[in-house]
Amino acid sequence: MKNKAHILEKEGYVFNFFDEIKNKITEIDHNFLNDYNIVNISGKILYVEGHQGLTIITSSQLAFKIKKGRVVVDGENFVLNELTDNTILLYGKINKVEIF
Amino acid sequence: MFRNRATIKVKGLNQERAINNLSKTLKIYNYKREEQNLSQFEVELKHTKKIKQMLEQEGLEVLSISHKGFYSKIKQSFLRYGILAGIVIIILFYILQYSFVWKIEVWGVTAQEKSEVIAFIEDNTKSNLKQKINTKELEIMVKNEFDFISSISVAIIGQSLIVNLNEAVLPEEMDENQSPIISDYDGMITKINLVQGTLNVNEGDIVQKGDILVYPYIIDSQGNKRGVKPQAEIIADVWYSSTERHYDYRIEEIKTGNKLVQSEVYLGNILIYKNGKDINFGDYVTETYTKPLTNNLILPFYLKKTIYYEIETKEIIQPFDDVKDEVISKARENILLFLDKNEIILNEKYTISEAGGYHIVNYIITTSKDIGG
Repeated sequence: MKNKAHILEKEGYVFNFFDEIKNKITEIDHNFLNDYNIVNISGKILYVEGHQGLTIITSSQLAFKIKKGRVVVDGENFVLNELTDNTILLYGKINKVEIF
Repeated sequence: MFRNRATIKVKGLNQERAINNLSKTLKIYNYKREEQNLSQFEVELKHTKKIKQMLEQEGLEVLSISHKGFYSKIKQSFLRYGILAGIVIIILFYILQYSFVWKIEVWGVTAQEKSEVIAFIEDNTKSNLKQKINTKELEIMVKNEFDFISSISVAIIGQSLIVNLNEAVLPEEMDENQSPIISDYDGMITKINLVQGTLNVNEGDIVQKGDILVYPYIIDSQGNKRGVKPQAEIIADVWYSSTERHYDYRIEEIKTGNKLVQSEVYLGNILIYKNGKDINFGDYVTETYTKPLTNNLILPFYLKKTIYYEIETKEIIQPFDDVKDEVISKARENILLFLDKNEIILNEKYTISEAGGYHIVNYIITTSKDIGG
């Protein structure tokens, strides 16, 4: 499932941010690049696509499942700004993002 | 402000599972975990009922649901019966009061006439209710009541009764309040040319200053008196006279030119200071004036100045024959002061009479002029 959130409009045409990045790196098979995406903006905002459910959510920790793994985010003053079936938008002080 | 969301506070264990399940069907905003088993989050307002059911199914206790946003404020306002009742009352009051006329405006006349018209309308309208005011009838009533109105229109605009008047302008000749033509001179009427009005004099009549010459009315064919502006050309021989008296022997007091000034300063009526020499004149006349020195009433200082003029008494013996021409000329000059510019003198004469010790010169000038109007 693709999310509209990462579709940006620039100079009159629509492009997919993640597709643009992936297209720059041709050495990797793109079939393996559609599991999940995580964007950390300045340690203040974390955007996640492709999560498969929250496992922990507190004011200092967020953990969620991804395909073949789990992600743990540590920090402070977390607020889950937006949560959908597929995406997470978190803000707060992000100290660490670990993928297991 | 315009995000219409419901803020939900929940309590219970394993909230992650519940949140995951909720997020499969709707969006969750601003999730905050306040304590281990206590959290709050927002959902769109339209999902409030649905999410409440879902949370209960998940085994979470809903502690509170509050709303925010413009739509919810409006909704809440309408659900508050007090506000609702107030709005209804205001609307009813507005509808009710809109049925009445609250103000009468009169246009096109002076302030005095305006207040008269307003008073008349107030007295003759039975009700302020718009439906009970017959504007056509009111127009006729006002028009018949006031003579100065030539045309009128009455209309109800909003909650005002607008009365638009045009004043009747009578020609000056038909104005009832005219003054008669009155003589300003003494003289004899020689010619009359009446334009309008009723004559009070005839040719050959002698009139005095203040006599009525033409009345400001006419008698019409029905015998009724009608006011008009009196107009007439009335030519008269007008007499001007002056009298000059001369004493052959007289005593005159003449100022010698010597004078003394005394200054006194008073506080109220108490003399504070005095300056000036003592008066050593035999005969004198005085001039006195006062001037306040302060502008307050607490210390009312004022200056009093007295000027003493020395005079001497002289006996003057001057026979009339020596100054006869001068006296006559002076009498004539006294009359010429009162003549109009370029007035034509028809005749002039004088008489001299003698009494005990003095002569009287009586000078008369006759002119012809229009004393009508």
